[in-house]
Amino acid sequence: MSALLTIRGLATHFPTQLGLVKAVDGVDLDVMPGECLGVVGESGSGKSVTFLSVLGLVRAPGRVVAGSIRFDGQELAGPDPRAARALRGRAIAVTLQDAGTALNPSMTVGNQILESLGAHDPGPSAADRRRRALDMLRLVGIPEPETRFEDFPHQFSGGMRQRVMLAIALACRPRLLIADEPTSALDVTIQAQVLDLLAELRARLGMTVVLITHDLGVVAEHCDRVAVMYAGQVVECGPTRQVIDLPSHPYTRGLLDSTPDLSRLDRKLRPIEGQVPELIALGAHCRFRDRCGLAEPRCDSAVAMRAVDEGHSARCVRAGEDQRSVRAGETP
Amino acid sequence: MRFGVVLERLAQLIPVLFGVCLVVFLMVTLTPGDPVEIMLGNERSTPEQAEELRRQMGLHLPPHERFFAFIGNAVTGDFGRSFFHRRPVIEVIAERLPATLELTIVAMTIALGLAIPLGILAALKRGSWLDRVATMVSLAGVSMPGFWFGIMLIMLFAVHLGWMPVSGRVDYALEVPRLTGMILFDSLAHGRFDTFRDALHHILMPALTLGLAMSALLMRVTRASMIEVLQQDYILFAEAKGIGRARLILRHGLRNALIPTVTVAALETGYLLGGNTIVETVFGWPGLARVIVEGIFSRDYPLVQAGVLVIALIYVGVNFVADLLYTLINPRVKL
Repeated sequence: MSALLTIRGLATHFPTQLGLVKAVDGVDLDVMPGECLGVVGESGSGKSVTFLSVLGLVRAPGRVVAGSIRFDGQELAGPDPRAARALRGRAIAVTLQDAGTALNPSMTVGNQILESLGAHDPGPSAADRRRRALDMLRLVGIPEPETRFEDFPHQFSGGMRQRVMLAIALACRPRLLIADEPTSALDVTIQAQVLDLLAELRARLGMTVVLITHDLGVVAEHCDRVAVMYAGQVVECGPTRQVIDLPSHPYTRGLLDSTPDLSRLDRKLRPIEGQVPELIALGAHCRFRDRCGLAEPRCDSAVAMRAVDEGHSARCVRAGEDQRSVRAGETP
Repeated sequence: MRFGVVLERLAQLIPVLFGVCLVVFLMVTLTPGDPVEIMLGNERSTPEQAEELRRQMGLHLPPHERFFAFIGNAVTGDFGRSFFHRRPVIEVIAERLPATLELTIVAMTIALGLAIPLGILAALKRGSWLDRVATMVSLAGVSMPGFWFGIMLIMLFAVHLGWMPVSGRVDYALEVPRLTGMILFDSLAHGRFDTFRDALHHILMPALTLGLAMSALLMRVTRASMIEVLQQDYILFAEAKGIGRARLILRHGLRNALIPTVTVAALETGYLLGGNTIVETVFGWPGLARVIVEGIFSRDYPLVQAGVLVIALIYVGVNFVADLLYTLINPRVKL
């Protein structure tokens, strides 16, 4: 099966007064049709910028400097920005972290849905668009859509706003939804509702979903595959179960060890020592070297992705050669 | 509910206007000079005649009685008679107000017409030569005194080049019957395009003098606000919907960026409607500010008091309208 979205060697850089920030620096990723891919990493790991690059929405002065982004066989990272623009909202949609800031405060939610429809899928009439917009509100579980249609975003609760944002993003039935931290801004009780809704919509609309998050618990529950990002690169990628059971990059291991597990309250959380490296003036060495308890001379040169298993690879010199050596980082 | 709030706001105006009346009354009363002497001038008059005139004008009463008489009459809409014009001051003001109103409308049209597009462009092309030029021009606009800029315009376009009339509102030969008192409007209503052109010719330089100064601040506010709005998540989200660039900038960007611009524009409109003494004097514009200045020189107490009160009323009224407008453009704000 060929991938819906293929990213190869993507580099997105931001010139700043301190130097060139390589926010995304050589990312390879495949998103398969129909799957839910989790993209995990700390703030600044480049996970959001990677997908803003896909949509052609990197803010100046940042720009995509290298690489290829193919969506359904069509190149989006080429010189013509219209290629990405034509797909935005129609074939590829995005939801942002906080619907409270992502919705236009001076526009009714109804009009914000109608705007998407009007841009890509006007249909026969305004009445038809209105009916479809109401259907969207109903689909995402907004009670009394007819009355809420004329409401402004600030008149909705946080969870409802998140649903409204989904309704706007999905209005034109995109094939790929990029959900950027869909739950980070929400209360825990609402988080589960929104994730369940997302799973339900994905099944009903047959969408492919990229779920950007820093919460491995969310990934474990909802994603078929997971890509772990660190300092602008993908450091591990594979089927969710396999990556969680058999992490092959010390950073993934560290993330798992620093994730609380309510069923094992006796286990002590082990934070990863040190800081994410500055994305300016990165050396050729493994980017995790300075925080890694297992660093060795081989880590001083560039490290490529190495296969661990079928569909599972990691950017570590030890990946695939001896699993116990990576796992040795675990407390006995 | 909505109506109750409006009433409440109107009630709040009462102490404000009372305060304005008191301050103006005190200033007028404390100013040295005697209107009776000015009116009689060099004419030979006996002290009895002066006393008689003083009695007629009510100036023989002690100040506090005069003040309460003024307030009492003002509440009933009677602002007294002008000493100088010898008719009700309200008539004098009503005659001059349209000239100021007309100048304000044209000046604000120029100001907004320049400020909003330039503000948007400067925000979109931040740091470009266009942004820098616009910033420099607006800085010049704020710093240039109106009297100087007005005189320069007259010197260049009226005196040297002879393209523009030096002063006044319209050529006397072209006057049209009064309808609203705003000549641009009246001439169109009467189908007199020659008058319209002439009036436009006359208003251009004073309106430009005011408009450029006003546009400077408006442009800077629009630019700053637009820059802030364009960085908001909802702009990114709207762009991700794949809508056109014009719609993105106008409907999502400008619509939200205009909120502070409207506030400043309202303040400026209120200020302009009070009449600009300097510009009206430089261009011989027969507006409200000019008539008040004349009133001050001739110690025409009733005219000055009523004039200032009218300006205060207009100012407060415009800001009230701005608040109402605000709730329309910003759905998060309720009165």
